Amino acid sequence: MKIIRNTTLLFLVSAFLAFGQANTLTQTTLAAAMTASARDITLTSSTGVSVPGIGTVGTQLFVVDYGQVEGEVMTVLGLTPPNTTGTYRVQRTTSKVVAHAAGAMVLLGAPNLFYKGNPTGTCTSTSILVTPWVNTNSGLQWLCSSITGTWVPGFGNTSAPAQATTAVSSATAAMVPSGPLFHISGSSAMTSITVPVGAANGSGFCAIWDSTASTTHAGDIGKSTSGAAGIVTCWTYSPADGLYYPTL
Amino acid sequence: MNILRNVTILCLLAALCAFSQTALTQTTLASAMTASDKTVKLTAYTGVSAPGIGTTGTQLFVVDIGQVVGEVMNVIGTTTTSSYIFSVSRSPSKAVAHASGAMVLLGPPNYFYKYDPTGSCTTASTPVTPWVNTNNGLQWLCSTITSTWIPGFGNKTAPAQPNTLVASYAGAVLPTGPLFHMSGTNAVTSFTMPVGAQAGAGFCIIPDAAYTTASPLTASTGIVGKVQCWTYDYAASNWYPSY
Repeated sequence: MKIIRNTTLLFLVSAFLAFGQANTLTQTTLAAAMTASARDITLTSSTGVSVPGIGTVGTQLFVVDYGQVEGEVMTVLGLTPPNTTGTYRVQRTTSKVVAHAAGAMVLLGAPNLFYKGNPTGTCTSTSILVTPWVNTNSGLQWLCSSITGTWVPGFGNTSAPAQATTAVSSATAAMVPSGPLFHISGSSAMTSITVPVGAANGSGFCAIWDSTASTTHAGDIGKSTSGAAGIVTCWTYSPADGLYYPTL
Repeated sequence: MNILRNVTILCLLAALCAFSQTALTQTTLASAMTASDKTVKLTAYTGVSAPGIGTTGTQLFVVDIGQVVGEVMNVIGTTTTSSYIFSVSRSPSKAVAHASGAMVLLGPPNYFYKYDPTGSCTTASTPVTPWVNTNNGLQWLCSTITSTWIPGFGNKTAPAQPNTLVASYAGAVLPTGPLFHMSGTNAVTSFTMPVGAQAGAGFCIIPDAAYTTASPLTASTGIVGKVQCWTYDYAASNWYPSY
C-alpha cells in the first residue's frame, strides 16, 4: 500500500515539476543540403535527438531555411543504416516536402512541444510547456514575455509589434538575445553574440540601451558600436559572413 | 414643395455626416481578466454604451501587449459596482485571459470589419478609422497622401506608406500612422498614443526638418531625409528612437 502511495506521490511531484518549468526547443542546423526526396538528414549536432523505441517517440524536427519563417516538419524514424552517427532517417509529409540548403535552422523536440496555432492573451513564463512556441503551420514563433506577461513575437515574427523580453546584462561578454527586443543594462563591452534558439534562420534583433555600453568588432560582431542610453540599436545577421551588423 | 426640398437637403446632409470619418475610441483594461470572466473593467468608459431601445451595445476589441489578434466582446449591460465595469458577452470558443493594460478599441459593432480593405479610398467617405479586421486583428488607414488603404499600427503585412504630415510641436505630437513626414524644428517632448497603437506598435518618421526630441523622450535630432523609427516599450511606457 505504501509503495502505491509513494509511487503516486512521486508521479504527482513529477507532473508538477513538468508543468513548473518550460522546456526549451533545441536548435541545430543542417550539416548538408537535402533534396525534396531525401529520406535522411544530417545534423551538425545530435543533442536532444532521440529515435523511437519502447515508450519513446521519435524527435520532431522543424527545418527552416535562411531568410524564411515557414518550415518543414520531419519526424525521426531512426539512425540511417548502418547507424551513422548524426544522420537520421526521417518521415516527411509528401505534400510539403521541399529541398533545403546546408545551414538551414533545425528546431527539435518531442512532437508535443510544437503547435499548429498561434497563442493569444496572457501567459506565465514559469508555467508554459515550451519556449519558443513554434506554430509549424505558419512558422511563427512566440515568447512568453516576463515583462508584459503576454505572448509576444519571437525571432523572425513580424506579425505583431515586438515587445521587450528579459533584459540582458552587458557584463556578460557574450550577448544572448532574449528575444527580438530587449534592454541592455550595464556599461561593459560585449564581444560576441550567441545565436539564440529560433534565430538561426538569419533573424535579427533590437536592443534598447539603458546606459552607455558597447559592442566590439570581434567574434560574430561585424562592426563595433557604442550605444547611448535610450537609443534603439538593431542587429542584422548576414549568413554570407556569419556576422551581425548594427544599425548605428 | 418647399418642405419636400428641405427634407431632401436634410437627408443629404445627414447622409454626408453619416459618412464623414469617425474614429474608434481607445482605452485599456484596468485589470486582468480570465477567459471565463463576464465583466470587463476599463480605464475609461467614454463612448461605451449598453444596449437599449434603438441602441446597440458597444463592441470591444481587446488586444494584449505584443499581439495583433484580439478578442471581440459585446457590452450587454452596466454594473452597479462601478461606471468602469461592464457586463460583456464573449464567444466561448475564442475567449482567452487578458492582462491588465491590454488595448481596447471600441465603437458600435458596425464600425468593425471581418476582412481587409483593398484599393483606393477617400477619408471623407470612410465611415471609421482605423479599419479593424477583427478576424486577423489587422488595422488599415485611409492615407491622405496615397488615397489608398495602407497598413495601420502594428500591421506589417504590407509596406508602410506615409500618412498625413505631422508638424513638430514643443510638446506632444500625435503620430498619424506607422510612417509619416514631420516638418518644423520644434522640440517634441512626447507622443500621444495614437488610436490602434496601444498594444505596443511603433512608428517611423521621415524628418523634413531638424526637429528635436527632449525629455521624457530620449534626446535626439531628426536628420533631414534619414528615417527615424520609434519603438514603444510597454514596461517603461515610453518610446525609444533609432538614433
